[in-house]
Formats: sequence, C-alpha cells, structure tokens
Amino acid sequence: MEFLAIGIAIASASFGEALVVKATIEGVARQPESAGTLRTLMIIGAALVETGIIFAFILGLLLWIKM
Amino acid sequence: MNIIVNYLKGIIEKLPNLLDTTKPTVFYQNGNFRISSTIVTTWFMMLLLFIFVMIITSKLEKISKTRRQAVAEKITLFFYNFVYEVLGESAKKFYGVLGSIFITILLMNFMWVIPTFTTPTASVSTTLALGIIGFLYTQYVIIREKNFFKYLKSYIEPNAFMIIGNVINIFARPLSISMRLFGNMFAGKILDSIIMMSIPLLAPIVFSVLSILTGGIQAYVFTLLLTMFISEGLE
Repeated sequence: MEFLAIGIAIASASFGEALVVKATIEGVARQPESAGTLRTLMIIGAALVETGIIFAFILGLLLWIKM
Repeated sequence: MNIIVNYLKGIIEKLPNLLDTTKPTVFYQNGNFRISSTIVTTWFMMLLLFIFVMIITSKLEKISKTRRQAVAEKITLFFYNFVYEVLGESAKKFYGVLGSIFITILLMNFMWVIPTFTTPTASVSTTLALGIIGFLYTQYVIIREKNFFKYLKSYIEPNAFMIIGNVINIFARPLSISMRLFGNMFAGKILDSIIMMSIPLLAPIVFSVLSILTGGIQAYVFTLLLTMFISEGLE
C-alpha cells in the first residue's frame, strides 16, 4: 500500500515538473538572451516541486519499516 | 519464462534486507554517542578540504601572479556572483558563509565516488545539523541587519492573527530543506543498490552519472534556498 502512495506522488509531481521545464523551454525559445535567469528559476522550481515526491518517499519508507 | 520468474523472485526476496545493506557501519557506540562511517567520512572530507584551502591561500598577494591564487579568486568570484544575483549589493557580507556551506555539501555528496566511503548526506543527522545551522545563520543575519523589534514585528506582518501561520512557515524551513537533501541522496543510494541487485552489468554506470548530477543540483538548491530566506527576511 505504501508503494502505491509513492507511485501516486511521483505521477503527479512528474507532471508538475514537466510543466516547469516546458515553460522554461518556451521562454528560452522566445528570448534566448534570458537563458541564464530562466535556468536558475527552473532549478528552484523543479526542486520545490520535487519536495513532494521526497516527502512521499520518506513517509513510504517509514510505513515500510513499521510493517 | 521460468528463468525470468525465478530471477524476479530472487530480487523480491532480497528487498526486505535493502535497508540493512545501506546502513552505515558503526565503529564505536556508547549510549547515544556513536562513531559511524558517516562521521569518519566527514572527518576525511574536512581533512581534504583543509589541506586544499591551506595550499591555495598561502602567500596571497594584491595582484595575483601564481596559479594557486588565480584558482582561489575564481572560486570566490563564483560564489560572489551566485549570491549577488539574489541579494544585490549586500552579497559581500554573506557570500563567505553561503559558499562554504555549498562546498561542504557538494563534497559530502560526492564522497561515495571513493570506494569504502559512504555518503554522509544520506543520513538524517548530517542533513538536519546542516539545515539547523543554516537556518540559525539566516535568522542571526536578519536580526543583525534589521533590528530585533523589526524582526519580531515581521511575525505579525499583515495582521496579528497571521502569527500562527508565520511561525509554522519559518520554523518548518530547517526540516524542509534538510529532508529534501536527505531524501534525494538516500533515494539515490537505494536506487544504486536495487540496480546493483537486478542488473549488475554496465547499468550502474548510467545511474552513477545521474547521482553525480543530483548531488551537484542539491548542493546548489540548498544554498540557493538559504540565500532566498535571507533576501526574504531583509525586505
């Protein structure tokens, strides 16, 4: 059951991360000179989105150990 | 078909022991005081860093003539520009501490490259210590730059009822950033051991490259978040 939790979290969070990268690529394609700023923003955004997966992973591990 | 099923069964039987294989070895334990391979690796990393910095910063001059000083200036400038992008002119006061946190985490994330060493950041104690120290530093800097009453006033910023939300928001930060670092490094370690169990030929190389990338990005993100806490508090 706890693995299902990780799976749902990964499915939704990877969709969110895809949105972040998509927006960045569109921005760079429109304005190539702003690539540096956009890269920094993309890494922050992707890391913040990833936090959800990581929390789900830690919770899953805790549930698994308790089993 | 039968071979594949047996192979998968073998992997699934090994899975419950997965957490035991990734545990750090304990050299000495007395109650809660414990010296494990995590701490020994950190000491070794500190030794390497200390020797490197001693070599690089000996006999500095005003105009750089030696290669050593050029390297030292490049590293310093990199961190200055990194903090300058977020904080602007006041980056001069903070980039030393933030840069040293960055280098420490980066080297800790890469320690698994040397055989027999474990990654110190794949243990909660290390990342929690780093997170708490970084958080205390940001709060200290904000109090020093504003003053104490303005700092306290920022807790009741829109109105007095927001104090609960603000306190949770600020004091959940060390937990959040340390859990992010720990989760990423520990997930990489578990992924590595699963791949080692199932496909031991050539596939671990790909995942090792992925782990190196993750280590770099996580060190970057940790420092960037600390910088953003400072810039948010100073506004």
